[in-house]
Amino acid sequence: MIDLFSIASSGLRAQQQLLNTTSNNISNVNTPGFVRERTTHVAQSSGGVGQATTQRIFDQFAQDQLRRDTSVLGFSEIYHDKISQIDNIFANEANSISAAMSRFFSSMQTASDEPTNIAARQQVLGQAESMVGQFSTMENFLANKQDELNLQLESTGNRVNELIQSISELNAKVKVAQITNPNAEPGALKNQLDESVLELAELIAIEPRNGGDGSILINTTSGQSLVMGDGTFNLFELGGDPDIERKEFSLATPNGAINIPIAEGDLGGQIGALFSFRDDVLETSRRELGQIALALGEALNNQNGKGMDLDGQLGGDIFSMPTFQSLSYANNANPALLVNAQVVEGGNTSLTSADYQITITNVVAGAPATLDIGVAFLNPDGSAVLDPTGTPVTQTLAGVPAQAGTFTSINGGLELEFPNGGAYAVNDQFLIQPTKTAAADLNVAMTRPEDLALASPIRIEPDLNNLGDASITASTVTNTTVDTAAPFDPSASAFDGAGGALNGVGVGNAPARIVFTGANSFEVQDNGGVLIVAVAGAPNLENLMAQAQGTGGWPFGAFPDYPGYDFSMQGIPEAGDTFEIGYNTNGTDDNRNGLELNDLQNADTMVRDNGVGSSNLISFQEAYSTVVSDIGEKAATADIAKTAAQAIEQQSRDTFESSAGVNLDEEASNLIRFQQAYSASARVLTTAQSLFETILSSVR
Amino acid sequence: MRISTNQLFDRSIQHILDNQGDLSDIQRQLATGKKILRPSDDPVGAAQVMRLTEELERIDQYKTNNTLLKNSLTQEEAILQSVTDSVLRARQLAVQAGSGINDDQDRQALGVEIGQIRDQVFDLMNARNADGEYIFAGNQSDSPAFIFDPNAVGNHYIFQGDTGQNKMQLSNTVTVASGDSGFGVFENVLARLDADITGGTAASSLRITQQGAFDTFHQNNYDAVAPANNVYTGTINGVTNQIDFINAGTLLPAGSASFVSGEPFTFNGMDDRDRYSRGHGGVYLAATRKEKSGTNIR
Repeated sequence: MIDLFSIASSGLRAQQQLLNTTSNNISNVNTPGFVRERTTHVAQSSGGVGQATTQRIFDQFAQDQLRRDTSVLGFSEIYHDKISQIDNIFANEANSISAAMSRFFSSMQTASDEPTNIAARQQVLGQAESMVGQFSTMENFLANKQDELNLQLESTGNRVNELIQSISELNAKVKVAQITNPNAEPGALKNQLDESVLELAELIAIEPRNGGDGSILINTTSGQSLVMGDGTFNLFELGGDPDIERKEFSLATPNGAINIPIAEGDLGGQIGALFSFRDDVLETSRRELGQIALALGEALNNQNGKGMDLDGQLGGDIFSMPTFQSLSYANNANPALLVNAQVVEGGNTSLTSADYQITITNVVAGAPATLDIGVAFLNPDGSAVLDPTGTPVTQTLAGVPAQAGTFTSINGGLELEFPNGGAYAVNDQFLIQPTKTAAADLNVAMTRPEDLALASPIRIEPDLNNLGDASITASTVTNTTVDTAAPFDPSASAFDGAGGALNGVGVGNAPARIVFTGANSFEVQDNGGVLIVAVAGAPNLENLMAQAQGTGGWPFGAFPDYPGYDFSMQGIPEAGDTFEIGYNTNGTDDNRNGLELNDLQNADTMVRDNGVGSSNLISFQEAYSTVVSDIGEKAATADIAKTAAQAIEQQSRDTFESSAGVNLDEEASNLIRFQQAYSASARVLTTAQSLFETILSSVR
Repeated sequence: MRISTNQLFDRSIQHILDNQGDLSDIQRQLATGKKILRPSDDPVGAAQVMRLTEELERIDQYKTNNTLLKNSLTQEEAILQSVTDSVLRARQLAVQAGSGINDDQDRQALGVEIGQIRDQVFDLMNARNADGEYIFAGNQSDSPAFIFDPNAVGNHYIFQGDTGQNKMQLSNTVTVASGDSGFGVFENVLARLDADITGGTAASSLRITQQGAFDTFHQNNYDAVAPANNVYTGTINGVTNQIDFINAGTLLPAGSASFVSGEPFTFNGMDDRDRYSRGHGGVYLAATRKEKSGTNIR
């Protein structure tokens, strides 16, 4: 009889526990991270129901899968989110740099059509301002995106650290709870722990392992420990060397003794996406835009310099080109030392979008001190630029003079200045990022529309008494460097910068006329009719000056680009035919240089591939459309990746939910079932009681 | 498969959201009339659109250039037509002047009109375009192409410009000159070839009677580099009744002309009206250098 009572009460207690678990499931149906629980009992050998065990019901493999897929989704979503913003800004026609360039070159054509029209020239300067503004707008947008990204990296990094910390704390609590009460799984705590792990998985790709005592140990997928079994943990720290704008992650051990650098590309999750987006898209696009801006500025400046403006002066710069200061690496002996750089004249055809890392390999004292340096081309992520054979692109230079004001040109269209003399130390490294912010640094320097050099500075006039029918077909100007005082620079030209083209550069009198002595022989004479060089047996009448330069006796051999102009003829000259060469004084209506400026729109003047260099050139607008289609292509891929990641994540969430999720119908039926069992157990109790009373009354 | 209650809701919501996103894209396509809303919709297409837009803008500019070029050439054509008309009128007047019925007054009137035509042509040679540029002055269009200097030695009308020609871009590869320099139009025009007597007789009455024969002779023998080679000395040979010519510079024989004492003779189209008698020393004939007619209006 006593047995019946204990059976009944154990039954009542058991059903109550079942009802509790069911009610808990029902009330937490909408709680994120809640895993349904089941209470199971074992029958007691002495009768009645025994000890209850409450456990969470879920599929461990589905949970692992879900964590992995969450990392992938976190990556794809953030990457897609970030790249869509860039995609959209490049899609906006009002922001199109291509359209701005088209407008600029159209205005240049209109000005060339009427070189004396000041309004048309003013229009060119206006369009130049607007084009530069467009570059600047885009670059500022991208720079803002980078600032935003850095903030996001910082806050996401902090969140990761918080999660690592809270996982470590929860691990400790779970361990204690499980030791205290081995029969009741600490469901709420474990749900919290799983939820934290899942959130961490969304931020970075992790490799969680069960510690065996209910705790979860966490490694990054690349193997670094984040949460360890002994309750310690590693935290992420942000830094940037040498570019503090370019954040890098490192792992700090608990005592802060060691900083382990992390390969950001392997991080995965949202943080990995931020790093990938920065290195693949943002920094690359900024540099490519900068490259277009610099190449455009340099090409136009250079061509304008080969012309003559409306005032009859040699052309000046249209744009003011930025100069670049190096960033020093943290390991440098003296952090105050620096290297300056600028685009070399005409460097647009070799300027790449790469960063240039300069390493000092030897310092020789002297006046000036000379340096041996190595130059390495780097991608935005710090990896080496590879040439088509897969070899890193590098250059070594020996005996580079280190003094302020002396520039040494290197491959890639730059020239370097080492202003600190002999103070450089071996193994000092400097990073120059010429194109990173260049799109915002390009400005219009020209203020007077008259300064636009649409005319050519050279004039070649046939003599009225020429008998032959030879006429000038083309004249080109390659060099207008003015140097009229000894010592003469080897780059000097015949132009004197004061309305003349007869600068003899200290050698003798400059060429002033061509006199034919036969159909294929001519003399180059100076202003006084004195022979400078006689060319006989000319194969054709192309580039007469080049032919004169190649003839023995050419006195200006020390000046490779002298006189700096050339011309070709067609037709057959007769002996005695004379062509006078002179400065294009008053040639205001000339547009020869204007046509050359126009040609730059179509000309292949930019390096397409950093690894190949100047052997593969494209035009500005081609380069820009490459940037846009590159971003579009990456955005399209990101879109597909995101959709795929969503579908996969959805599926594994389904799988996980189908075991761990609460089904209200199921719980309702359980409720009825357990309630009935409870009533029945109660009934057992009343039965036991009435049996007891029966016994009592029979005794009475 | 077991389904949790939340899965049921999540699925339907997810599908609704997906469809709304698609709808929004289609509505934007409808509103903008563009298939490619952003480069990622079709990266290759977006780049193509960009290059094509650039090409279209360039073609637009070429159209503008074309119009300007056409205007400029039309103006030049009109001016040259006027010059032709004027010269034609002068020719008419010259023919008219040859008529015997004109008295002095008539000829004076003709002279006045020809003077007017001369001034008109001069004016046309200094024509200006809408921007005020002298269209025949080459690149130096700020100053007149031709000036008149009554005190000048030789030609009174002097070309001041240069041979510069502006070109306009009509396609990516084609540039067309937008005008001509006065040098080519009015200056660099061949005059009739002529010759002189340079010595041997005081009187000089040489003229070219057979221009074709003389032109051929000139073409074959003219030496622009050494002027001495253009003088021919003739010696009367009483035996053969010929005048034998040698080149005064090279001293090489240059042919001979038949000679009758006291009568004119003809050598390669040059007709010497001086009647030489036998025993006269020599005749010097010099082919002159070519002259350009544009500067010879007097």
